[in-house]
Amino acid sequence: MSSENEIDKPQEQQSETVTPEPKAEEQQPIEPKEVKEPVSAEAGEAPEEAVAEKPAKPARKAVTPKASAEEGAAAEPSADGEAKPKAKPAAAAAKAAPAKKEEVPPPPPEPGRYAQLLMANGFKPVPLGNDAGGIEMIELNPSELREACQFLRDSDASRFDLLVSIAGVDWKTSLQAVYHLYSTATYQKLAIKATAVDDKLPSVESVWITADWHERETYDLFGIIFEGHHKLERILMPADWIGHPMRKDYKVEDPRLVWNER
Amino acid sequence: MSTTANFPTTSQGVFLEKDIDTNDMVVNIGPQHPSTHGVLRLITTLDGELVKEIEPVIGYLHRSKEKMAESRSLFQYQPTIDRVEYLSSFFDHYAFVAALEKIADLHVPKRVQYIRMITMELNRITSHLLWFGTYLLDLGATSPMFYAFREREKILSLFEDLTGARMMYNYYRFGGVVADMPEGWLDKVRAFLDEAPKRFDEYEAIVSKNPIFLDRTMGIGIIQPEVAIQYGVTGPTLRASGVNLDQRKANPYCCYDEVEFDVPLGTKGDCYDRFVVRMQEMRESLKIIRQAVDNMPGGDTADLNKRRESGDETANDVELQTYGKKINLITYKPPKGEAMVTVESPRGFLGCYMITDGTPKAYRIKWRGASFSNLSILPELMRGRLFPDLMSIFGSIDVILPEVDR
Repeated sequence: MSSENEIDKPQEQQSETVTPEPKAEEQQPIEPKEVKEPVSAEAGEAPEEAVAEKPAKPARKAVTPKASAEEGAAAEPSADGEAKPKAKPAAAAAKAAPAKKEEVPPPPPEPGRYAQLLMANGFKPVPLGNDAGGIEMIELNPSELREACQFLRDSDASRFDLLVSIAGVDWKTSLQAVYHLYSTATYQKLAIKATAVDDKLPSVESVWITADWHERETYDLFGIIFEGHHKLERILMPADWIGHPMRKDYKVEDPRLVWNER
Repeated sequence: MSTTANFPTTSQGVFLEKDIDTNDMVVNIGPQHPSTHGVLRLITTLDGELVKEIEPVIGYLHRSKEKMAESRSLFQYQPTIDRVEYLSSFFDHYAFVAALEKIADLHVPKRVQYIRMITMELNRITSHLLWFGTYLLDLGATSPMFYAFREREKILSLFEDLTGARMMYNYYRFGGVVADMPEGWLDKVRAFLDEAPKRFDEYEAIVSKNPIFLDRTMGIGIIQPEVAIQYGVTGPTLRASGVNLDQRKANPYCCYDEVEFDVPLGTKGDCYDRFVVRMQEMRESLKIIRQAVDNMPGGDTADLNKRRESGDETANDVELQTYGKKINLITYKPPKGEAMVTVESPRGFLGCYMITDGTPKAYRIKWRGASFSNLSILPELMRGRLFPDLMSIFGSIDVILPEVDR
């Protein structure tokens, strides 16, 4: 209990310093503030947050950008060029932050170490940057997936001899398989993504034997058909199961099995 | 086994001379069988006492953990992941929590990292101890199980003090842990650390020189390192084959780069090596725990509380808190992103692949169970082997069925 009190202290102090107002008014805004604090800090760009913050914003919109622009112009006429661009983005951000963000496309990620290696050897990987953990991601065309995997396993520069997992992802418009590779020689990691064409992907069973079970699992749960697999059967679900349960449009029709659908 | 010596051997294994006209016999083992450590079915084709083909049938424990993640917020989903691998669920939680911490870039205080490291290593010992007991039980020795459970109980009591639960802990949170250690908990851990090595000596004295045990494990179920990697085998099972692959050393996470420990390796890759590697790993875990306990930032909670009461500002440092930053778990929406976190669980690579889309729910969570890949090597290991070796080999790869089926 004592430790929790210690943690709460800084928050209370902050709220006191920010709004030194009468108690009667303070009690009401406290609750929304507590909700906002983490949300605005963590995911301020999401459109829903912008809606939630609307009641507070109009006042700021009218006052702050204009005032700052006027001040900048009045105090330092020579710094006009600097003051205006400052004021503009502020106003724009306040008005239509989510819309503006979408207009500017993020720069295409630069090819990482293994994307460059594949490019140098005649493959056409699409670099996708790094994931949050710093693992390089590349997208490969299904037609060259098996050859590229074979190359990545055998090349001295990569040596990805361990297939960690195959994760299917249903993006609603298409099915994708994510191959996480690991090198037992260099301890490097790599993620390969391949989008299924007509729910079909080539099997990499000939590259890593462990792909056998992982592909069966992905077929079972997502319905991705791995062409060239020696025995593509269900592995987790019963053999007579109908449908692929991890798909986003999967519906259980048996009323006895539905217990948590809302 | 002594019986195998009488049979003519070839380079591929032991074969009987076919002087009698025999047919293949299909024996169905499981799904309910005490030695399968869960619900596993093995369709075994026998030629006399030799296994010609063995086919594991899994999925009896499939509880759709991955689908469940899509209908619950991350915070609601968290308590259910204890059941993915119930013998070492701190590792599940670490992979899950670390994946989100990477996506949301949450700061984790040093003190929390050390608490996590201690709990994970204690958890590794409980898991290996249970394996030790049940493996010997598989081989026909009943008493080691009781010895192993005595130590395991002590660690479970430590966990109960810390988390309130003996098995399903649900103790980690995004960017922190639920609560700080109770006062004096570190001293209890120290008491265990002093006592445990003697107990481990005792176990090895009982078992390691036992001729029956040696006959049933030495030279049985040899896994070549290249074959193991091809089948995706990781963890102590792989290290027993001589491959130096430990994520704690190779890709240090948590604070494993701040502690010193060795990675025990086997030479031959047989069942006995896997036994030795696991026993040594428990001692290495003790080493890690002792360093973490001694270097715990802030020390024992009692000392820290005293410093706080006396008005010491340094005791309120962010690195000594139980949360890096408090987030409202009910309304928390992680940013868009994806991360794959693999940790070195007692059975190998345990991975959590998380994709978030800006809503409180995860768009996709994929669990990579170490047992899933480790089990897939069983048909390869059993081909041409004697049927009585099945339990010796299957037990030695330490499979947890709930993790296989998820």
